[in-house]
Amino acid sequence: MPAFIQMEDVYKRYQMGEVTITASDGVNFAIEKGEFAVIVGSSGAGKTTVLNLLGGMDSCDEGHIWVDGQDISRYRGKQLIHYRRFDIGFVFQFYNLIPNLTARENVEMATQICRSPMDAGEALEMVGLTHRQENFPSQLSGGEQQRVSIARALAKRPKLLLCDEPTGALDDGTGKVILGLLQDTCRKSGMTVVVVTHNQAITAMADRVIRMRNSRVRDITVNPHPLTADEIAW
Amino acid sequence: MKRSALIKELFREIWRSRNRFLSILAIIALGTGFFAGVKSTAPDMLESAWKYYDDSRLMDFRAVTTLGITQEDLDALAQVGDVMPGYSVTVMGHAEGDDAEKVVQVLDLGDGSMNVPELVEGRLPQAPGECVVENGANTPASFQVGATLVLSSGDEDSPLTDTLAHTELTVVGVVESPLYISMERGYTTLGSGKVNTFILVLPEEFVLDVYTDAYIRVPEAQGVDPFSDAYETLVREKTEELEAIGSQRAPLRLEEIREDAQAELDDARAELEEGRQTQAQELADARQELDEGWAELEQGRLDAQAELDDARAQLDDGWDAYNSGLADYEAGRKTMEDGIAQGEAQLEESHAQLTAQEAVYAENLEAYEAGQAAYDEAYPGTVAQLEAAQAQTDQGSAALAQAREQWTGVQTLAQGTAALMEVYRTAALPGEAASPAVVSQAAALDALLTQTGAEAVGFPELLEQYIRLDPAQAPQEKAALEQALETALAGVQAILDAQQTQLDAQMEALEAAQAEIDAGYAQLEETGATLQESKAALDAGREALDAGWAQYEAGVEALEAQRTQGETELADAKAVLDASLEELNQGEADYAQGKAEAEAELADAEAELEQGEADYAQGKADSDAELADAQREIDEGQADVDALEAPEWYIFDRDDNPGYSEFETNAMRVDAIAKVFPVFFIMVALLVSLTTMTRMVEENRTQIGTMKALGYGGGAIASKYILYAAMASVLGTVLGLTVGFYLFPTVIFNAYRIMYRMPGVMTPFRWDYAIGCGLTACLSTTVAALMACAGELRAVPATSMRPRAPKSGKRILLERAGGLWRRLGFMTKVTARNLFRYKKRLLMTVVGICGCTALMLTGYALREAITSIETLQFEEIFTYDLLGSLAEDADAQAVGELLEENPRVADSTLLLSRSLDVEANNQSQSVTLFVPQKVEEMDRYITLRERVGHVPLTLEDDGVIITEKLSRLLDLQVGDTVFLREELEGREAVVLGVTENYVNNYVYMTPALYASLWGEEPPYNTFAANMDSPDSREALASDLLEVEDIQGLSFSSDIASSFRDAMKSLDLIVLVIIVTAGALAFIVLYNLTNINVGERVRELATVKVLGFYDGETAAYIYRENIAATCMGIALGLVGGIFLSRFVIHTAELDTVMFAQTISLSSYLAAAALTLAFTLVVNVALYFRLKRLDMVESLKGVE
Repeated sequence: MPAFIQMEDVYKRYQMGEVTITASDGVNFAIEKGEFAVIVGSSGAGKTTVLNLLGGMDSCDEGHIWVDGQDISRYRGKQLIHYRRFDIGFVFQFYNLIPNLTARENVEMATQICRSPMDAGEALEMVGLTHRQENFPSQLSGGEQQRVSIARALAKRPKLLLCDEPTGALDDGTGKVILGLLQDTCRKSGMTVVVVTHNQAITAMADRVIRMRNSRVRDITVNPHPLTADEIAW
Repeated sequence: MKRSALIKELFREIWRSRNRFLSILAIIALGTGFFAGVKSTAPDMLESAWKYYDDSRLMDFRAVTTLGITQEDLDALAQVGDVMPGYSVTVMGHAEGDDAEKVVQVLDLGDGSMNVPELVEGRLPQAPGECVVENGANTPASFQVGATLVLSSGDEDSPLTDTLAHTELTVVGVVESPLYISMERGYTTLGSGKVNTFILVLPEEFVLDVYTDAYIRVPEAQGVDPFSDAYETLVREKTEELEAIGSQRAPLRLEEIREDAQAELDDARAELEEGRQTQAQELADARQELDEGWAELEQGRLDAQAELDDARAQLDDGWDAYNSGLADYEAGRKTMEDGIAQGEAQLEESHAQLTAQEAVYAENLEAYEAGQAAYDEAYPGTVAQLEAAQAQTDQGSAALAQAREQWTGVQTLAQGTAALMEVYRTAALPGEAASPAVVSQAAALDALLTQTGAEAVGFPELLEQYIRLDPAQAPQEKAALEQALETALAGVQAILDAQQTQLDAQMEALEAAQAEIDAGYAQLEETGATLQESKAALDAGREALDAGWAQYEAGVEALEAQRTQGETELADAKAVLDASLEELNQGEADYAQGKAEAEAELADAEAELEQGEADYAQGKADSDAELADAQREIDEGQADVDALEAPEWYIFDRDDNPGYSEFETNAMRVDAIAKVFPVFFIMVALLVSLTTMTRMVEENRTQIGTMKALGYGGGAIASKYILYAAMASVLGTVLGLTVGFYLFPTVIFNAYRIMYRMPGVMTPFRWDYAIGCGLTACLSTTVAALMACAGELRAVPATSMRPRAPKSGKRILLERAGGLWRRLGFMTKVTARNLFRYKKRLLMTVVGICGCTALMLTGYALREAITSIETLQFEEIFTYDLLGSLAEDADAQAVGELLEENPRVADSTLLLSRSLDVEANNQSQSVTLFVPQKVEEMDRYITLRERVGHVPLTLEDDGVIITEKLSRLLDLQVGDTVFLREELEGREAVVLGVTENYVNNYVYMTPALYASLWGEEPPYNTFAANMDSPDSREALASDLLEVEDIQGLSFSSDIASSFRDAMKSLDLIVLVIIVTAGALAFIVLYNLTNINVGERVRELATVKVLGFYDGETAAYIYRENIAATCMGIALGLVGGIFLSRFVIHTAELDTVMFAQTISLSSYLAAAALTLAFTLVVNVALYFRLKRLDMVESLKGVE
């Protein structure tokens, strides 16, 4: 019985002309259900590839990726879309809100396609943006936009919340608020949250820290006493 | 060198974004190609025509006078320019084997200095009696090379031989003449009023004293565009000059003609006088001749009588000789016949005797033959019997001999036995000695005993015992034996004796039988001898008879010879007699005939003389009348000469050539279309390329910032985009122009060539259009690129290197209508907002689609306009089933009655149909005048109604009804006055109504109005009729064509179909429009969709990451596309109505009015086609979105 998330000898190679770039070179790690996991590494360490594979945006060349008992590495085409649609919530570095939709509508866009979504208002309430729900993204600050983005991801009630540098475009304070929001979500709803970042400071918050270098997992640390967002500093 | 990196980068950029590059190139090519191509069509058409006129040295003017043109006239005209005299005459003609009479314009070939015809087939005429016909549909099928054309003047009073040397011409070739560029051939007073076709002959073919035409080419017009104002001005000036020459020449010509005529009259007078004298002389001669004839006749009568009398006397002598000869002959005949009869009696007697003897002989012969037959029949049987008896006898003899021999043997044995016993009576044969042979033989004695039934005694054993027994020893025994033997022997002897007696009796019987056989043979021989004898006697009798017969035959022969000889002699005598009889009869016949002949001859001579008398009287009367006529003619001629007027001069220019000015009008019409369509095209093209360039610059924002930061100057940076745009547009322009300059003029001109006979179009590369077009295209795109760059270049590098803030969302107007907004689906809302977010692009799309739809609708409407004319014109307006033309001098009323009687004709009316020109407001149009005989029944044949509202119109006596197109062409309203011009005369009439009509132009008037305008009843030359059923067409046609007065029939169904063919040319133009509009729609949509996707890659990637299916992702864009397309289509359909109305009006020909309703199917087709193009683009888009990389969503904004 594999863990909630388990990567087994995952290889991913890109053919760039005559050069083959190995983006994942035998990646192995496991994350338990309900954990707040942080994948950390410098630029080019292969963490984004891991995120792509986990998020069902790409498929690996070798190995197995188990998510809640399903081997998603075998998924193709429509199965992958289903996986993204029903199992994954995604938070982007640049929020990727649809500029032409209001905050609420951006959330609704996700709920439209789910089987048992959260009410959009409820999702926005969770991120504390009820009062701004009729605003367009351009009328919101970066942190607010990222919160809308999180609400959009949460509204789908995903099995797994994947966050790609969620604080990358934000100032420290706002970043901490967002991280806190993510940690709370994890703690309160028992959702598994995977944060991909280059920011070592965030590791202190994590239940499990997976360090990557040169397309490999360098080490995995389980943190028995994770700090809250307010307690960390960078 | 420092630029090489930039240039390399430019080419890489082109390669990387080749789709964008190609789409700019394509839209520019399409825009400039269509613009320049359509725009240059009119000039190309006109220049091609100009070159054709120049090459064929088309005349500038044609002078015609009412009295013909003389050499002096030509000399006078030569002041103005080059002059070529010419002949022309309009005649009726048909090809041998085809009775359809056509109106044929006969022209001379000229001397090659002007109006040079182009040979299409065969050769030009080389001798009088040959002609060439024109190329194309005007020439009836039967006018082919090798055919013989039979021409007539169409007027009995002036035979064609006064004009042409030959009235039968052989077609040797086919030509095209620059004088006739269209299908029009001009008008005439002959036949239907319209010239059907022309033919060209050698000038020598014409036997006229004067030329009929003079063609003039003015040197000042050389090299001047015949469609230019300069040419027009020149023509006006020269026309005045020529008219001046005309008015100068006219009185001189009158004088000339008058002098000639006077001289001719004087000659005639002299001739008349001479004629009078000749008459007197001739009459006197005739009188004398007659008198001589009478005298001769009397002498002839006397001579004939004398000759006849001589002949009679000779004949009578002949008869006498013949009759005596005949008597001699009869006597001789009697003598000979008596002698013969006597001889015949003697012969008959001897014949009877012989016949009797013959009977006796025959009887004997029969007896003999019966005997002989009996003998012959019995002979073999008897002989066989005898022979059998003989054989039996012989057999019996043989058996007897054998028996006797046997008997003799036994006898001898018995004797031997006795002798042996004798020997051994006393003696005994010793035991060792052998027994004598007799002992063993004695067995035969036993056999004999046995034979006779007695018992054998065993002679051999007994004998043996006996001889062996010695008497001495046993005398008793011996004696007993002896006794026994002797007894036995005695028994044997008795038997033998009995046998001997038997044998002797047999012997005797045999001898008796032998005697009997011998007697039989003797009897046979005797009978044979007797028969032999009687045969000899018969043969002797035969000989005697044969001799008798021979003697008889000789007698007969001698008598026959005697008779033959006598008869031959008699026949000879008879032949001599017959010959003389025949001679006499012949003589009698000759005599009678001679007499009759002589009498007839005399009677003839008399009759001839009588006739001569009568002729003499008649001749005198005739010549008197002739002389009187001549006198009257001279008097009339004198009156005519006295009344002569100066000739009228007419100067025609090229515009008077049939079809000449319409060609220019048509070219101008293409130009009118060229004003609307292509401008529209090029505008869309420019807008599209502008958007594309702007987008490109925006995409490259970061790169621009980077380069600026690196220290590149603004010019260097901008040059990339400007070069990019310039290259795409220059290449596009070159491609578009190369294809467009050739394609569009060729296609359009070829369509017009169905109506015009002209060589192919020249499609020169028009540098003015090319440069104008190219510059506009290149400048617009490069300026667009420059403007797009300028914005970016102004920004400081730091700003431009940062991603540009995405266009912010905004509430749209629609949301204010809360109720409606709330009811919309979520995706609909998204689409609606997105549509309004990118207004520029929406506008572009809508405009592009709108244009495409409008163009297509126009194309379809044009097509419909053209095709529905046929139904409207030939089913709703012209409701008659057929038109028939009458012969020139037909009795129209009789034909009318005939039609009414024909059961296949439902109803009919006579019509006057005449071609004439209508003039009003300084414009002129050729029309057909229709005057129906039965005005009140007009609606059965032709519907007169206003197009709008279909208000019926009625013909009245105080004005005419004209067709709608005519009213538009001449700008006529109800109540205006028109001028009806026919050749040189004109009449005025008021317009009472304007009727719906689509093909050709007509003027309708009542017979009463015609009568008041022309001063005569309408000379009906046509009839219109309806059939009782559509099936009676063939039968009716053959009924009517049998009528001599009916010259031709045209069924409206045939006209409808030929009209349909002619309209196919416009169909092609419509197709060009539809195809090009489709291409436009495709490129616009594809380009704009590409930009749309390009700008929103990130948004789409996010949507994909969110888990949208491919279809949903595509639909996200599709909805916008489809919404924009629908808006475009809706606008396009509305715009299309106006565009098509405009185009239809400009594209119409003078003789055609297009229908003006657009049917639902055209709207649907235009919309559907546009949608189809949108769908194709959307399908392409689907695959692009499917390939879209979701990783894009993770990237920062560039």
